[in-house]
Amino acid sequence: MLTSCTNAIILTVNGDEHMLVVEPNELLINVLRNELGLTGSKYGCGTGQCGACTVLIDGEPALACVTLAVACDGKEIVTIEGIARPDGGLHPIQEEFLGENAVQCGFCTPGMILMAGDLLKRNPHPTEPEIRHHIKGNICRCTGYNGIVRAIQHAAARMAEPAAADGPDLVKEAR
Amino acid sequence: MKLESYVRPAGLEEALAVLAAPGPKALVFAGGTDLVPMMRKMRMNGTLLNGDSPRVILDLSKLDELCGIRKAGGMLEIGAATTMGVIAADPSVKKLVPVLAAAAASVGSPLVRNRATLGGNLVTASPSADTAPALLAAGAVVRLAGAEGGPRELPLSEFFVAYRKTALQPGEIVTHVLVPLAGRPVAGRFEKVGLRNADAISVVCAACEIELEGSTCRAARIGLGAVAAVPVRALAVEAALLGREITADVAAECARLVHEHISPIDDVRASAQYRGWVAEAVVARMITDTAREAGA
Repeated sequence: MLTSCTNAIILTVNGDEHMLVVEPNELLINVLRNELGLTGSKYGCGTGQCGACTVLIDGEPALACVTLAVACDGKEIVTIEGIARPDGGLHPIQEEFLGENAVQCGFCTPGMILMAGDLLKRNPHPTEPEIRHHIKGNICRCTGYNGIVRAIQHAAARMAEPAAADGPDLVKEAR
Repeated sequence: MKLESYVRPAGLEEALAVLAAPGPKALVFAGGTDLVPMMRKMRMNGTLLNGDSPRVILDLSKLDELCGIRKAGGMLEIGAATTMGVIAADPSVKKLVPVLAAAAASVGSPLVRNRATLGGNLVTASPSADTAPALLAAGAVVRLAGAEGGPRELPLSEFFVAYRKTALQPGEIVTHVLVPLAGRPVAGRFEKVGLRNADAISVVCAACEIELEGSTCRAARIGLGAVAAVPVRALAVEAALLGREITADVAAECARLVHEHISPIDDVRASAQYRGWVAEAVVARMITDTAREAGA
């Protein structure tokens, strides 16, 4: 039985392994932000309704504000900080968000981008309703949904061409 | 008073032993989508909604025995820790119990569905739990297990005993939800009315299953949520449909009887009066649509 009195856990976050001691009711979002300094994931509603805290746990999108850190022992976490290319260049989805001005206040952006990545992994050619359906759990209070949807459509078009996605001319200036 | 430890048992027997151990009750935990917000409130006053003051988090989300969907003994057996996302996408659920697939797909958002479990949706016993009316319409049974004695089974309609109160005895958990397979697939509908199209808590949720002989109703089951203290079966509507040829007029006439079973309240989402109107309208529409699908 895995009874944790000390609650020592190992998290792999964006490829780096961390040994941490956490309270049994500590939330994953607080560990990421306060212990590891990864402030890309946001603490929004705290009740799983807004999606600002979205991270990937073992490849699956999850709400870090309703996830216990102790329950993630041994798991691989990816945050928005972990999706850029190894050379530091932005991910095509990030670039398209910039290109479409799909970022206003930016609070929802990390969650939106991770959900977009999850969608395009499962469904490389989503329709607009499919895109809107997939980001249902991510709220943009600036109501910038049209730009977000266009950015995801453009990213889908680009990522569907493997040669283009790896090409050196990916990084472009924000319009 | 605070949560002092976290336990992830290796098997069901061990989980039940932890639950039966003397001392403060353990907090049975799976997806956490309801419990974590509740635990935050608990940090303030030390107790949960039901008055418990647990010290131990008992995480059942990774118990193999409680995860997954299979056919066994003429039943579709769904582990209580199976997530809404898995249920909504499962080919057998979609084919054999489409009302449940639709209800699971309507819960929260894709993010919530990745974590929220079927057992959690039922044990929380919220009147607006979306899977409850679907499972009532499907004639589902819940299997409960405790450390002492064997598992027991209970029709879901007997599981909800009062507002946010279930028939679970101390030390018991829901291990599986069982849906009888005889006669399936059967025509059905699930409908949810919320204040918006995304991540909404139901104003009214409802489901029905209707079996026809020719164009005559041979069996009907109708479940409703968010219109009473517990999810309810609309037994009077079901009885009125039996032996009738289902037309839109018959559906409307029978749906009026829904008020015998509901006692909606005013809250932040809707007024009691609106809930009553919606419940009747949704039931009438579901009956008509289901009968049409079944070939009436």
